[in-house]
Amino acid sequence: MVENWRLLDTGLHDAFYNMALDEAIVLARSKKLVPNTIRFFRWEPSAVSIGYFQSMEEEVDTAACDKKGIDYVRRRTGGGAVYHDRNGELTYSIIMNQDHRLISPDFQETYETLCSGLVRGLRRLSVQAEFKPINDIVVEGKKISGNAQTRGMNVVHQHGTILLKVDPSLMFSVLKVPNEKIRDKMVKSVEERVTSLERVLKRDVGFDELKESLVRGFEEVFGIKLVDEALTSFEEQTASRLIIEKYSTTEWNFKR
Amino acid sequence: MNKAQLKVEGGKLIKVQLEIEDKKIKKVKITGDFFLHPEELIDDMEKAVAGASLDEKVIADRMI
Repeated sequence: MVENWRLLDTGLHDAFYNMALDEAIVLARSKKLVPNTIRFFRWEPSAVSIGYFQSMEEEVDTAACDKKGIDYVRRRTGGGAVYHDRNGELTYSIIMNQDHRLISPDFQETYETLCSGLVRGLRRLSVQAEFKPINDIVVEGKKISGNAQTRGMNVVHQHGTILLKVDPSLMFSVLKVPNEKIRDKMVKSVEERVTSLERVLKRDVGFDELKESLVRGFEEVFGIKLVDEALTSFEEQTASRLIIEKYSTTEWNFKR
Repeated sequence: MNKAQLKVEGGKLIKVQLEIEDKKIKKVKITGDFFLHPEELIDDMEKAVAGASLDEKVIADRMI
């Protein structure tokens, strides 16, 4: 029997909703109200997310963000600051029970297992993607996907990005740099270390095409069937609450 | 405010900010792009070293 998982495509939302909904799904899964879930989403407006342990003041040029109408939010996962471009990035989340056969006590091993669904999906698009420890996916040595995982309440939550298009200078216009002199250098270094589907395939790749391919990749590698399903009202209500109580608050976003 | 940072080669960055009073740690803030599970442990670690004398062993013992 192939396991059925839920497929959610929540489309374009702001940063606070996006992060609140991830946590709401985690809570719903921990209460066994929903099946294991893979969610695709995007960011409108474009946004910066920072890792749980990062300092908002140190990482993000919030004045520049305010001016450009770019959101900034702290994630519940560790890792670095990420610029989520509305038009250039697809984000996914995997939310599943921790005692599942795919989950190892070892984080490293689990990153590799869960990322292998993405790798397979990308290869279906003729992108020679490979997992690169600790938690990246690279093509020809350049990063195309970053991933972050956390666990709790018998739930594993991994989310990450896939770049369709990349604009390093825009990225650094919203991230803090140690000093202006090295801004160009940092932009250049990202140019050399990061790639996108557009750069690899030398054509535009649409969001639908990418999502379809990733769905097949997850299904094949995880041995599951992804079934389109809606959010539950528990998740919607919990997300609304978490926006107000957590993700949109200064207390949370500037807590470190 | 004292600051130090350590970048693991090819890896993560850990920054530490330290407030010192009477040769003891008054407050510490640990930030960076690292991972720690469960995440809330960081608050316990920061609280645990507050009041510690400036001795590597004392600080390390309190963190564990």
